Amino acid sequence: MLRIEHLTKTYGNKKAVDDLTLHIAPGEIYGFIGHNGAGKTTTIKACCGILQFDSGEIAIDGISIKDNPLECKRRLAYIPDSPDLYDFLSGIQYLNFIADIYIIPQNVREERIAKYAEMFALTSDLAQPISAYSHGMKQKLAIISALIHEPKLMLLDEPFVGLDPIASHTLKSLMRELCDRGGAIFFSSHVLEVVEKLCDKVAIIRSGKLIAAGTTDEVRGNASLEDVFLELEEK
Amino acid sequence: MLRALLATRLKSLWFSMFSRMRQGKMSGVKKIAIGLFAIYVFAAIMFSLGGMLYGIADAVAGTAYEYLIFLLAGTMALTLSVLGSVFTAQKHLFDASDNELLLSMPIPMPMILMSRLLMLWMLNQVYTLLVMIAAAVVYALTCTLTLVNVLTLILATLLLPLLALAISCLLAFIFELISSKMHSKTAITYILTAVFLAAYFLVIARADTLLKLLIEKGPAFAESIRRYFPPLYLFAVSITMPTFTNVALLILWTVLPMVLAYVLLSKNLLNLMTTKKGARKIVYRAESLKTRSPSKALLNREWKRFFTLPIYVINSTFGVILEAALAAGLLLKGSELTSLMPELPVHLFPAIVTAALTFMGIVTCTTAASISLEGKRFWILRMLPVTPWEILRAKLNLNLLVGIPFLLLASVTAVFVLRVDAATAALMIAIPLTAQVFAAVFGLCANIMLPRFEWINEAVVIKQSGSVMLSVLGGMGLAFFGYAMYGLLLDVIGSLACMLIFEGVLLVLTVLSGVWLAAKGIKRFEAL
Repeated sequence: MLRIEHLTKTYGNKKAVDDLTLHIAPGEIYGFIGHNGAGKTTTIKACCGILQFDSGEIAIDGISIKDNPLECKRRLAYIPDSPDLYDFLSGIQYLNFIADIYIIPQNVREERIAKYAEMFALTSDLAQPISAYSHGMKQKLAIISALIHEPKLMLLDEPFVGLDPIASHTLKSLMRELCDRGGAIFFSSHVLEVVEKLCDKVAIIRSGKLIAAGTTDEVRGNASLEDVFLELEEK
Repeated sequence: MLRALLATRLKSLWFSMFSRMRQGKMSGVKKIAIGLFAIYVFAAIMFSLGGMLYGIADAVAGTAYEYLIFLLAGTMALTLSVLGSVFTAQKHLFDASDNELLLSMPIPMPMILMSRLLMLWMLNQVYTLLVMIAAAVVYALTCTLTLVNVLTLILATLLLPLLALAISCLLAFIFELISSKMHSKTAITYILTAVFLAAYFLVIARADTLLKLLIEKGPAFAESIRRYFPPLYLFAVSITMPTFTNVALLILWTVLPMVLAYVLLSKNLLNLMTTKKGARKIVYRAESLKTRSPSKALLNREWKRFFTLPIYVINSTFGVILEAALAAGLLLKGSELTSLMPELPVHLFPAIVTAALTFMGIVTCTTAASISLEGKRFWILRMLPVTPWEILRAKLNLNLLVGIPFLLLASVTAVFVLRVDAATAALMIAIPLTAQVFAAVFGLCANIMLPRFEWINEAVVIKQSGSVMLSVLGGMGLAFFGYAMYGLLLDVIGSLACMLIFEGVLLVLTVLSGVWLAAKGIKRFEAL
């Protein structure tokens, strides 16, 4: 579903991502962990076509993000680490705007908005302006907007930050559902316990370089993911 | 601490204008070109103000009424400063996005307030200098300038912005106080702005009469000012008749209002900064959702943002208001134009009206801040499956939708009222429309070249960003070209041919801007 081949991105003289190769298959939830500034956000942004990269190739569902970014964007959804949404719109206006862009038929969008808003307990707040939303509510709205076109691939940057326990649980269930339907999820997180429990595969990045990747069981061995991460980081 | 706070605020202001220069993304040649252009604009404004001041200086030089030069200059500087800083003051004092961060830190409230007031005083100082440099040159050329005059001139120039700041702060405080009691801040901002603009236009509309009055009945006018607004009178006489009493009274009249404004703000700022408006919760009731095509959805998004930012509307629709006023004026008083402006030759009316409409079209520019306004939300547009051109086209269309209807109305009204021939009529409609399209395209190019995504509040990018300045400078350059061309060629080739050449130049510039946008602009936009 997502193929990252020899991805390299530099900022000035600094290599933010250095020759990174990762393959994420349909049905997989792939965790991406690393210290602050390791290159996680850069990698995710490059995958969804909002950051140009120096070399390498990224393909979504077999389509190159460089050659055909629009087709790729139709298949994916991205949620950034900070849900800065349009304060001048209400929640429902924002969701409707996103649905317009993805050309979702009226009845389908109404049904999906109702379903996901109910799941995230946001229905009664949809008429409120986004400027009145808390961080968690914005995060929920960003998640709903990402699900509205039923993407094949979700790229999530720290998706659990700001969510209450119920919303976190709902998101995890939805992530698993999407993968069970043949989709894939690539997400970054600092909450290693969540990654350990939720992910089929894990990749660890340090200073732009991939230092470990594989199934969660392979990467952690007999230790916890936290122990493995700390050990690799100290090397 | 005060220095650090002030430096941060000034850096933010500077960074908002010249972020690409700081990031080293702009070549030396471009920096020099922008610098030269800025000098040209500064000089052009000073020359035009100087011209007005020279008119009165010529009449009063060598008499006891030389102070009328500075009375007029002081009035101009004060008006310019108050108008230029009142909304900025409101934004920086009450609505800055770093308010909460600073309040959470162990920084004394007076220190935060002082840093913001100092920044606003500096801004007012720039406005004041624009007028006062011109006034000083005119005075030096026409009257006798002594060392004492120079010293008091410098002192008065430093003091006047304090008075302007006190007035701006008071107005901003009243605006904020009223809007904090209202549910819809946007609505109240529009109402207050409309009142403010009405007062402004009343003054502008009567500016010519006031200037004539000042020249004809200078002493009586000065006496009125002295009686009803002493600081301006003291400002003028302190420079031309510098006595200890005059200077001491000027200091008192400028410093005291600022002290009072400071006390007022220091007692209420924390309360206003931390008061959450009583927003009523609107409970969502599911209803049928309206569907739009992606292009219309993008345009609708631009439209909604435009109208929820009063400062954006105010800054971009100055020309539209003038167009509406001109159309109404022509309809009501069009038949009396010759008697209203007896000094102007009738055959030049079409060219003059076209020049005015062109100016109005050029200043109606929403695109120059449009990309910067995406700010931290730019990621949304970039992740959506729409082409960069679709995004840019929505921004262009908003500008044209805002600008064209009233421009067209005013142009067509002018054509009918002035009863011109077909060729002149076509040019009277085509020139302003082309200018409007040029302003939209050039503004967008300017914003692609000088984007600014990290801002504390929208006012910074809407009023003071590099792209907005570049767009204004481009418009002024065009106006200067038109003025120079008419001056040089009018007697040789006639008004119609001049209009035709100007339309040709506008078309070429519009096409060139469009070609740059299509060829390089889109690529640069993708790389932002």
